[in-house]
Amino acid sequence: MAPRTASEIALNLAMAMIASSDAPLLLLDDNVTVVAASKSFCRAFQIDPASVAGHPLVELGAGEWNVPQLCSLLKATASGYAEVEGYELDLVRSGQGNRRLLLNAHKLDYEDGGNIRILLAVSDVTDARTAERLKEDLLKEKAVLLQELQHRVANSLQIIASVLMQSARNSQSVETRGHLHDAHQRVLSVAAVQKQLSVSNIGQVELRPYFSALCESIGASMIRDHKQLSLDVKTDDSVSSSEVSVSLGLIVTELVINALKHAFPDDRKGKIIVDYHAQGSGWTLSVSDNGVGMSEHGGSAKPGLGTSIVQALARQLQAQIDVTDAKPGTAVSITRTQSAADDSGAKVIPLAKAV
Amino acid sequence: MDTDKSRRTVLIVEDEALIRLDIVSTLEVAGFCALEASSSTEGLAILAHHDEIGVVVTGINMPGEMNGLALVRRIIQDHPSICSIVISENAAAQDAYEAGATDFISKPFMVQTFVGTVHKAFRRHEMRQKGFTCLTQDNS
Repeated sequence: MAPRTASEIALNLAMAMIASSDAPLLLLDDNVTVVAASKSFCRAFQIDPASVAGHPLVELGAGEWNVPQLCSLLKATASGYAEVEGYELDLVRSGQGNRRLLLNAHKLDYEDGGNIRILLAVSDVTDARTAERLKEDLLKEKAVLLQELQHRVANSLQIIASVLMQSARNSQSVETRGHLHDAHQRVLSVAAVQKQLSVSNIGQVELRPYFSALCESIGASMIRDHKQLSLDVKTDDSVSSSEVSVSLGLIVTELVINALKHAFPDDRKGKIIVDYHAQGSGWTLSVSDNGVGMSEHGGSAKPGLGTSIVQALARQLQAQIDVTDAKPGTAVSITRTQSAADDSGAKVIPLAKAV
Repeated sequence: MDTDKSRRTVLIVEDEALIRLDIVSTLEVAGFCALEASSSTEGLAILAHHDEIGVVVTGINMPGEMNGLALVRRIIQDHPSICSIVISENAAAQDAYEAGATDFISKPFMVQTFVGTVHKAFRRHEMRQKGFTCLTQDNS
């Protein structure tokens, strides 16, 4: 047997590499005829290895590789006009399920310029594409369910608000009407959190727009002359979870309603300020007015429902209540210290500034 | 169903009875005449027999084949001078405006805001009746 030349050895090595490749590979000539195929290709597509080499691609299997567009692309690759990169193809096999294939083909650049060779790599991405479609369908379904849930919540809150308003209208007692209006306002306070969450991309509540919407709602309901009485919000960029936001909103509602009812008797002019600032992981919420001050508006009276609500919520938030003489007026501060926040792990987060 | 034609008449289309009751009551206290329907189909039937209706207030999710947005589109087609106000959860605002609603109110709403919006819609309805073109909020 004559000794093999270096080129024969090199050719044998190349064929062996293709044959043993884990990735399904085909080595084609410029007529799109198979020169060599990997065993993995034959196994994946159930093709007899003996019927591959020397046969046109279009004749492989039961004719499922006879795809005119693919052949055109491979011929263009052989001519050097194109490369096939990430080309997806549906392999239609009668009697078997279709497979989604990802193809990459390159003209091989080697010294034997007379024999053009194209290396075609075939990946079966059927399962990956099915999983992607399933994931997209699930995400769409989740979005629909979330929208339905938001609709249900908004409807339920509207029903509660409507019942309270109807009850207030039908009540003969001024005191009862007042209590029902307050309850109506508390429901709107909770609803304002839901509205913020529905437009939030981060699942948290931005406190500035939340408090602003809340105060606008209270002002529209309870302030007759906005030139006489103003209600301002000064809040930093903090965001908060929905649970903490609801509690903060209810505290603001109670303190603002209390100030509106008691701090400005006899059409006294004035201002109420809602202020919120985070300090590290702690925060301070304050509602202050320049009204008649505590001694005149019932500082020693028995605490009402609103005060009980504020105390209960402050306790829940692990915050401290301070009531001070603002000279003139009153300032009520609810403070959660950094150490209390660190101990409990619950957070209000300063919003990262956009770059 | 008799209405006082000297008062501005609003049709409320909302399937939740308690919400509908509150809206009717709110509008009547504010001096409007209110008609009500619990579905879009019922609403269209009322519109066909009451040409004094100037504004329609409608929810979106309702029983039957036609939801509130489809009702708004149908009103634009059949009763172009009538203004539609959609009430729904906050996220539906864009859909409402794209359907052709004159205005949108998110649930739950404040009474003052709601009544103000209805007044505004009637001003627009009256301009349409006189043949003026109304500019939308973005002047398109």
